[in-house]
Amino acid sequence: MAEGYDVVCVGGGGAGIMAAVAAAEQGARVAVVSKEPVGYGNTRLAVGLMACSGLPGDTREAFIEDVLAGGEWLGDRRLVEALVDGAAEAAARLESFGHTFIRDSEGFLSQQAVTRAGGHSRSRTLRSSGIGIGLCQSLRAAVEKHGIGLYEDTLVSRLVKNEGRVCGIKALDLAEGREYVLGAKAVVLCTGGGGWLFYPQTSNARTATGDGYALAYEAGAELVDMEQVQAIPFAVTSPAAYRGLFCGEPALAGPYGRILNGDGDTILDGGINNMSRAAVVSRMAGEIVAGRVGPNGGLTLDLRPNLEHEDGLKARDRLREVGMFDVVLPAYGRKAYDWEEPWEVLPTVHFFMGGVRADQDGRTCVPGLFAAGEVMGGVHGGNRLGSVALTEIFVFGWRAGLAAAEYAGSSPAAEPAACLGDSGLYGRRGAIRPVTLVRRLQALLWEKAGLVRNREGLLDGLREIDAIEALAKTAGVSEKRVYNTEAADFLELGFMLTTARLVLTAALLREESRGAHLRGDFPASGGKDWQKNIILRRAEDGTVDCRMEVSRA
Amino acid sequence: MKDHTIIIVRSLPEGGRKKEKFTVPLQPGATVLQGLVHIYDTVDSTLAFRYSCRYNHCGLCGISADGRPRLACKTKLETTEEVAPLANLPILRDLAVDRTRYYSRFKGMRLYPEGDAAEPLGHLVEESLHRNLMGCLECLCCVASCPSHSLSDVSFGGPYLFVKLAQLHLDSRDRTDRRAQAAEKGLARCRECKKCRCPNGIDLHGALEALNK
Repeated sequence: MAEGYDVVCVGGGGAGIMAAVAAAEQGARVAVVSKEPVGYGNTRLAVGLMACSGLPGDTREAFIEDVLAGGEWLGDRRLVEALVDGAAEAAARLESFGHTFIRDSEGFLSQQAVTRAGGHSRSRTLRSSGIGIGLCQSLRAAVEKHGIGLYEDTLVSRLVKNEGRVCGIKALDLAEGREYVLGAKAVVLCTGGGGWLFYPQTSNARTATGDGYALAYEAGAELVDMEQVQAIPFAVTSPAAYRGLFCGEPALAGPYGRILNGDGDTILDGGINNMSRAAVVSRMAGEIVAGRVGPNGGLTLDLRPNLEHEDGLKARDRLREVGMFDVVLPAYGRKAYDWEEPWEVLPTVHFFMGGVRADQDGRTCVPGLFAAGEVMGGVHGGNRLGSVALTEIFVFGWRAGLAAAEYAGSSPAAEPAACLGDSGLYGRRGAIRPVTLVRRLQALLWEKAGLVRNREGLLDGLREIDAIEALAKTAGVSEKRVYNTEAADFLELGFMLTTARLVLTAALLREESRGAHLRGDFPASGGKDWQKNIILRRAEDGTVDCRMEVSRA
Repeated sequence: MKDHTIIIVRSLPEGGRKKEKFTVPLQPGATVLQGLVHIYDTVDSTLAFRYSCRYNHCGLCGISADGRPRLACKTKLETTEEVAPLANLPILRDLAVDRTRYYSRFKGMRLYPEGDAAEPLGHLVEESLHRNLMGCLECLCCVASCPSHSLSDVSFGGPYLFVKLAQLHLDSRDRTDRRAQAAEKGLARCRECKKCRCPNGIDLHGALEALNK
């Protein structure tokens, strides 16, 4: 007999904890399963900026239109409405956990206290005390406050189904090297994104290995617009230890910053701070693909023109206070950090806009399976605006938690099948180490599905994914039981392979350039004809079933 | 490219420790974390250590570098000879701290604001020390540098807990007597000591003073 809960939330970031608290407040018995201790994933890496609704000078309609237009009309209007309508409540709830949004000098959230983040037409973004770190401290506190069961250092290797419904998870306790089944009437996937598939060219946490996409896909859920993988324009290129680390979104350029290619020609001059992430990346990608790059494969960001203007200096000081480009100091030194010297930048993979298809309450098409946060698709369409990711995880985490608790309350417990014991993972013999294949896959993804894609490259990539998958069957894991990360690598490699196939499959289908998806062979937008979502699902025979639907923007 | 030899002190789950020598390439600006990842990727993927963000956000990669508690992502490889697990903390294997077990020491201490419901997103004045303390990476380096902290003695809280209590003490939304909690957890032992250090600029001694006044 498996241990059982009403609701199990997979993932210990903002979405997972919000979902767990919401379900617990409904009286559900709730557990959180997290690969690292709670609050050590991408939520922690956030700069702590959260778009909020209902502030003076803003309107509901303006916020909704910003998100949908920013997403180039691939987003789902119902989801965006739910996002905007729940934003203020979610921010207040976070504060009840002990988080603090920074007020003005009088202690109010006035226009002086909020900022206008990239892609927004209004100032509606709150700043956090302690940035994402402070935020995650509050999440841990919330788990204790609400008596939520906690399974840390634990991976979920698969979702367990019975008669078409999800009824639990198969877990791997990494600390002890033990596999077991946890029964659940409802499971909420809050596993975050898959930026780590592109390591080292990513701003993401090591845990963002796309687990949730693969788990949902294998369980029969639909995935939407998986080709939409956002690169953020500015990451450092050296030293190698820090390559790919985030040092800014378009706002970093200030009003007067410029970008130069490797030949010294200016490709963008001023006003970069008002461009979308996708637009800046698109312009940079053209030069990078053409090989007009600097010594480390990047372009030059020259922020010096800002120093000649009062508003430029103000921008520097404010961004420094936010902590957006802290890594520039150890990477490039004091003069670069002071904007007195240009430095080399390269876009880096930051966010998956696509993901598990769900309604505004996180319901997927699989009974008992919910999704919230980055793992869910459909909110941001082709491009995510700055500071909306935190809003998304807290709004939809809460909604999915409520819906999961309600579902659990009205459905009988299903017994997970008994055949799910030890899978023989520990001590499996093999000629190759899982991490070797992980690295090979990551290099492949950046090369074939990174900044600019084309048909030949994507087809090559899909063939190579098959080859790595075949090799994965021959990978070995040592027999050590206590915190053996080879076992985690092995499982994550499987998730990464599945997620990679979904990304490349969708990228091949979208024969246009839109949002974050740039096709060298289809450089133009397909206009209204391509305002379509690409929906993927596992077919009976194990192949990827693809279809398109007109978007509901 | 030059090579660099580093000794790794591996904590064994069955008890005891084992020292192992590894040679890693010394790339420009190399960090200890980069060295560990290199060993993991190319030599020995049974080497257990934690990391996530690669620079100064997650706090997971705390290690002892030549006896000093440090974040591996910010420590120069070139000048580091020996890497060991953080002192005074439960270790799963090699360099990996058992954080779950460490945090379980504070179960029941209600480390969240308790008080009347505040007006949502309403008036709030934050002290600068609170802002500083909210940046705590929870890397646990302070605990490793604390001479009074011990794994077997849960009666003493240690600097990590005192930072948490100071955060709440300074939080106008919290009504619990955090000074009393700190006193119960042996804050008096810190009065003359102040040997704890934060590699990241968190005002540990300010936190102790706020709880002591």
